[in-house]
Amino acid sequence: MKNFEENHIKLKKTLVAAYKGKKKAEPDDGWQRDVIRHIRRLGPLCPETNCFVLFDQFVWRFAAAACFVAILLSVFVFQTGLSPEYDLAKLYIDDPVELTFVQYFGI
Amino acid sequence: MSNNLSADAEIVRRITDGDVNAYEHLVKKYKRYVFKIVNKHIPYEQVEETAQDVFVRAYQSLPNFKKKSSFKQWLAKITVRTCYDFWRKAYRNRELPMSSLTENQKDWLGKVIAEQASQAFYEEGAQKEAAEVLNYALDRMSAEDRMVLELIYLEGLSGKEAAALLGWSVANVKIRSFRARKKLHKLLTEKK
Repeated sequence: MKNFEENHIKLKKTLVAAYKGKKKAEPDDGWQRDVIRHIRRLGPLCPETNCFVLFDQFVWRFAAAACFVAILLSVFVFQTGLSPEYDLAKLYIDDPVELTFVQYFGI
Repeated sequence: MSNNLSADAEIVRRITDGDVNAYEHLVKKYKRYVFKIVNKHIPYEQVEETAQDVFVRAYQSLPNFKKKSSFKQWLAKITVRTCYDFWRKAYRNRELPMSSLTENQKDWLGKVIAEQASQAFYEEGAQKEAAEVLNYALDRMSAEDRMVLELIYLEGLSGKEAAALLGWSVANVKIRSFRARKKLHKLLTEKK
């Protein structure tokens, strides 16, 4: 175990040296001009952009949950054979007056 | 220092008010800083393009800059996360590497462990071997493990610092760090 720990330290030192000794690129004026050109093509930031950013940040987080709920509901409907349009039609045919009254008051 | 922060905040305000050209001040001021970070994580040939992506992403995210941290710290987070995204895309698009360490690389590893590293490392070609062995190991990690290994094991950041840069929980980072180190050792010491 001691040997393993000692070997680990030597290996780490050498790997860290290799990591820090990597060839490095430098930013030149041409690169900076390209970046600014790209930014100018994007145009100015505006308040409307904030709405899209918020949409992107929050609404998409619920997309996965919404899909999962939709799949669960589909499975439930398929398994139980629920067909709400027929049930609703049947209710209306049985008691058209009361159903309309209930619907009107949103009960 | 506070003058610096308020100068950056003022430039950010001008940019979010619609002055696109003001962004050039921030690019000029922080380009070397961004390159310094990107150089550590990204292959040489892709550094310029990745650094450009960082500044584009930072520009588009400026409305989200909350001024709780300095612009420099905020930019560092964007840079690290852009590097992480680079590797996620790279790993998704390529085939899994099948080769193992070459004989030269195994010999080099043996020398390192047998305390001949100080001569071996500086001998002609040894630095190249060290870099190849490191890349061999990093290429076989997931993008997440790679970033955590580089930030914590190779750069020496704390778990908390790495978690802040990556936007992950500290627990997640520490667990990944432990597993990634174990995997690194397994890759480099098996079949030696």
